[in-house]
Amino acid sequence: MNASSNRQLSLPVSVLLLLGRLAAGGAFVLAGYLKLLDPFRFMLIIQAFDFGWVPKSLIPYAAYAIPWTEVVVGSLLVLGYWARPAAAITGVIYVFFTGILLALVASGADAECGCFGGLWGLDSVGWMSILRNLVLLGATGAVLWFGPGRLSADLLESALTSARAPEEEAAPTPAAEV
Amino acid sequence: MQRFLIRIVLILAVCLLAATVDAMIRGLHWRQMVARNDLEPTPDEQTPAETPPPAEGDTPEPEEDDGLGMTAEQLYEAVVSGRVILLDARSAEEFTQGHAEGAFHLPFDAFERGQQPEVVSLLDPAQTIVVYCEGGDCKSSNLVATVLAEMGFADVRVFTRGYPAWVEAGLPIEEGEPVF
Repeated sequence: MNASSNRQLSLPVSVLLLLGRLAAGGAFVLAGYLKLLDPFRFMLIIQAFDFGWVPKSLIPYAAYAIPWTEVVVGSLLVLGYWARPAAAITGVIYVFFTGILLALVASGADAECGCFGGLWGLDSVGWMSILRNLVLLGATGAVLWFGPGRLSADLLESALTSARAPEEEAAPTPAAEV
Repeated sequence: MQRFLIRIVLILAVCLLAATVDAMIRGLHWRQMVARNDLEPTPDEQTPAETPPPAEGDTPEPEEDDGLGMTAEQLYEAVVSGRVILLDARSAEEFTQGHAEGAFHLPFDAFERGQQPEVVSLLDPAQTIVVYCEGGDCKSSNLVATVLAEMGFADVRVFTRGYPAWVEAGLPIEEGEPVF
């Protein structure tokens, strides 16, 4: 799906894609920002998950890298800039997070997911949090499949590029002037 | 497809760069996180099965190693004589309810925002500092001691038996909110 196919998408579909981008990307930006307010707390939550396959020395760095990844790819998704690569990364992270939530629910552990930095009760682990992730994953998948739609920075960039290209073609070369 | 993959790599590179710069900017906060992470035992390290269970009828022997090489009474004398600065790493609520006489309040939370607590600026780096908390499994005294050692305090020790041992020894306690 490239810029030209983005242009072919109808306005209603583009609006739906925009809403999906705002939901999935906005949730990521918010979650990342709240985690970055207190990376220490997030590190303790990662430690509590007891991932045997994650080198222990990487856990403090992960407490910074995961929120920053959320903020960066979430922002790209909201803006619709480099939207498909951002959606791919977002999708992988949502799958990973949903897997963790499923494992926690299955184990019956009374744990926090640390998803939103402990605010507004959004950190509780349960079927609702899994459903929320699946909905956002669906929105991310739609962006990955269809592209960001007409209301996106990607389309604006391609429009500017294609508008510039004919001018360059029309401009006479020094050889032609002679 | 190639451009798609290149963009993914570039985005991830930016994310990791941002995380690295952020960790460097936060400096002290980052070092505390690493210290805490090093202290926290991994599941592999938690091997209670390796420790033989006490035989039936055995009474557990009192823990002799309190991490100081001195009894609670000797610690009190050292505090009174000014040779040792005593720090209470428990919560403000616990400190207010009762703490060792002469102890300053310095919980690990005080470092968590990456700022230097006021009480730290009053400590002499050359003096012996003893940190205690609730004893047993409590980790906050270890965490505070680790951070202080990283900050350059030469002799920081942990009174591992903690406040209960102080009370048990009948040493003076006082109540009141933390000054700092």
